[in-house]
Amino acid sequence: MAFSEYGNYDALGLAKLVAARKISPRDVIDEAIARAERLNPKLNAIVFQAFDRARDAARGKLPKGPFAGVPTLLKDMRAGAIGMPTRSGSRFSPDTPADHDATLVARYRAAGLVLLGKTNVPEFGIVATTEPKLYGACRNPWNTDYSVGGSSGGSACSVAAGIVPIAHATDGGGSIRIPAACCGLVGLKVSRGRTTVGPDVGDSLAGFSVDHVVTRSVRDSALALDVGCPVDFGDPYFALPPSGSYLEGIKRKPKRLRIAVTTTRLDGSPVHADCAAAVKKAAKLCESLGHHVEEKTPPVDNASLIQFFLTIWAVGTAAGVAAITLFTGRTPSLENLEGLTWGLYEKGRATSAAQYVIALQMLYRIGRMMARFHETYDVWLTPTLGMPPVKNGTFDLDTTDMDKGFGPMTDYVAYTAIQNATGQPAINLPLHWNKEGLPVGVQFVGRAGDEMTLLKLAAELEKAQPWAHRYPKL
Amino acid sequence: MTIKEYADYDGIGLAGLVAKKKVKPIELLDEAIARAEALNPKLNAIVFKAYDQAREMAKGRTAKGIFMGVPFLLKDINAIATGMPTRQACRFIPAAASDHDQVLTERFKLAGLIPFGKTNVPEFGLVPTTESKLYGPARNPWNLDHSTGGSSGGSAAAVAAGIVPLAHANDGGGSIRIPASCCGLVGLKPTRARVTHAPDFGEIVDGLAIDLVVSRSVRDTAAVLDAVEGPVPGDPYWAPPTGGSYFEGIKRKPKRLKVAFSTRKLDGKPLHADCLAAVKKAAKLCADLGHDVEEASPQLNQQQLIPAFMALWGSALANAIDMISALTGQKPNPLDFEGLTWGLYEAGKRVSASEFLTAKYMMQHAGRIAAKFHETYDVWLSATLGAPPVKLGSFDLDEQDPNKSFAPLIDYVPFTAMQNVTGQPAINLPLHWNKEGLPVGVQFVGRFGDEMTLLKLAAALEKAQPWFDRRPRIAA
Repeated sequence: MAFSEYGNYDALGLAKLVAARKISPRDVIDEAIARAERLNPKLNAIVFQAFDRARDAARGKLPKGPFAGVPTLLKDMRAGAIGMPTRSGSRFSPDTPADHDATLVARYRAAGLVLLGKTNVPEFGIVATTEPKLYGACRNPWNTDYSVGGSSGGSACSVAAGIVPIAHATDGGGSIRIPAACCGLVGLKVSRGRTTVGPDVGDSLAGFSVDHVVTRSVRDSALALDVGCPVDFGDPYFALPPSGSYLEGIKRKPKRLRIAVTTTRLDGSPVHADCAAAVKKAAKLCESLGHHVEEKTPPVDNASLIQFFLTIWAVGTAAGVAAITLFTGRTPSLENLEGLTWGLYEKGRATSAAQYVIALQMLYRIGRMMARFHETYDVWLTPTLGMPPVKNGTFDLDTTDMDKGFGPMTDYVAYTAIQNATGQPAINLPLHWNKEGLPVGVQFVGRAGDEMTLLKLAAELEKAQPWAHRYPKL
Repeated sequence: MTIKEYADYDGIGLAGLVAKKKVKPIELLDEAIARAEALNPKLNAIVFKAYDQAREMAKGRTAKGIFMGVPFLLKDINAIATGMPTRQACRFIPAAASDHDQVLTERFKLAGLIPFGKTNVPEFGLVPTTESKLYGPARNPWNLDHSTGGSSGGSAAAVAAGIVPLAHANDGGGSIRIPASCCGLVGLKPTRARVTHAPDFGEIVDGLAIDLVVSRSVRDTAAVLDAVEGPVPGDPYWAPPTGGSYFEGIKRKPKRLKVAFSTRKLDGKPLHADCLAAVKKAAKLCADLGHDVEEASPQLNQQQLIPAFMALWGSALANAIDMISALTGQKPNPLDFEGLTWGLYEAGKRVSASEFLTAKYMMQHAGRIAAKFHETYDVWLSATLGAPPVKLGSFDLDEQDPNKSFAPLIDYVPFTAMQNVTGQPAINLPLHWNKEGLPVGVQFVGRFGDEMTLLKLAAALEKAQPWFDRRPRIAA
């Protein structure tokens, strides 16, 4: 049976229909696959299809979790899943299917999610647009000439296009929030250590990079975090424990919050008018809900932040490439790595451990500075990006010159890397669309460990200015 | 109270006397200083005296914490304190007094502890014996020819000798547990991130190192952990929450535990007979208390982990020395350092960031192996050291080749670094003395985040086989 209202439901909504036996998991999954088959040729969101397995799963005995029968997709980074390769968008990585599930994926399965495949990413998730040589560009459902953002671009694209209501994503510099901003979704980057990256690694990019999901509803993000956040013994460290279930938590309004808002670039220069408009609108909405809002920007030295940040990323890239070499015997070259990746790899190789440790210490200092900022403010509101979504092809990913490659991107990705350095949670919310009909997101940043406040505020804003009815015309 | 009885009390005991106004903090401090003055020429435990500053504190409004008015000493590594230098026994680090307390020091003071000096360490805390060119050796109160262990050797000597009931210590490879073992003390290394390094650092040696104390009683360690644990905003990551007060927790017995014990080193090599005896005795004591005891060891691959551990320490050292150099404007010179330090510095500079991440990966992988082991066992018991306390001068600290300089040290310290690698808590308990009258400690390792079980078990063992009145003659 065709299930035409499929797209009207979020993940929890679908799960409730399934639980109430109003629809069978089989129909839900078949509908998701039909949509994937219809839309993916236009969007290039899904890069590995596990449709047969998903059909089998939907026809078998599903775990009785809170997402039982809901289809989802996993990003082509981390989130290893039995039978699926994870190539991180790189020609250099082998397409060997995994022989075990990552702990987080096992939890998703146990919650009843049905895995349809893997989604498109830029190579090693390095850039803020999803246009890898291995898979080709992913296209924005709101306008297929435009970028979906990155690095969780394929996941965001699939959710925005209504293929699945929820998809796995990761964020090491903005990679959950950026595509959520570009595709009009909810994207929560969780606190450092909140979701395990076991069993294969202890942390990723020194804990800068974390896993969660992109969704259409706030409650799906909250529930997915309830599913994903239990501590996994063997992790090298933990996040502060949640004060309770996030899904339960968002049923109550947040207390009156003190919100700092930034309507410019961090250096005080003007930001793109669409982004300024989005953030001003969000600030006004917060104020109308009774929160205290004032214009205030923490003293972040973005230039030095980016310099140290690139050191961490470069070293992570070098170590990642070295690990692949170790397992495959392949030699990295400009033939099998993209230009920008190669540049980072070279920079990473030339970095000493002592330099790496200094970069880390400097970034931790930003954590202390932000902690002081949050002594006064519960939440910091910023644009998610410095511009509306760019067109595909805007950034030169072939250059091996770091300054040339990353220079233009730093105006675009002007707010999101800080939270990866500090370990704070931050959420993109789709509260604004520009004249061209493209989503322009804003991000709310919370205290480290305090996803609860962000999710409560997000739920309050979602209720006040709903976005669930907004769909791209595809 | 006559001051003669000072050393009959632990820290909580002394604070109780202060609370009942039987003694004044200044009287306790003067007694501690008198003991320090009498014993330090023999022991060389204290390397910086802050007597006047401490007297001001003791005469003023003492913080009404659980250790109200108890004299205390800080290690010459971390525990940055206003008015005191922290030189890590390194001649390259200037003897400049700090202009602030780090959060840990503040918390010690808020608990009522009164720091009156800094204690001896080996250079940068790198080795398990407290012998440096800057300060000279600290001596073991149980036998002055022997090493106190390291790196918190000065603190352990001062506590064992009865100068203070507890003293600050820290542990990046065993440096709380080793001197506790050598000096017959309680020494708990807490879980990674349990104690903050704020405001100066986010983590130290990549999360290998953590602070607490060495003490004579289990309850002092429990109470001090209550007082200083907990993150501050801006810390990069956290330990699992405590689950309540440790000081209250140890009043209840632990549940029946599954205890694994090791009678060999992790590489299969035999232990010194004294250490083997200590482990077997402790295992029997646990069994007598009703716990399930069996021989088992986690499958930690020392061959992989030691080079990884050295890479992390080497690069942390390179980073530290380069930072000091940047601050002082002086170029590091081999003449300013111990040979062993210089060799590790040079090796550390050559570690690439990519190798560093590989080392970290190994370390995190070991954490998962240990977690798996602890699905079966609540606690892992091993010897703390591979041999009883060595004599001073046993190790060649002038040797620059890290392979040569560290090999004998690793043989001596075959267990303790593993918990720095995995981040687990581990506690040394003084349950055995050898024929020569030297303490031979054992360590109990708990699950990540589970200091409570260790402390409860420690309190039960302390009750079953008390050690508090066992004092070195020098302390009489």
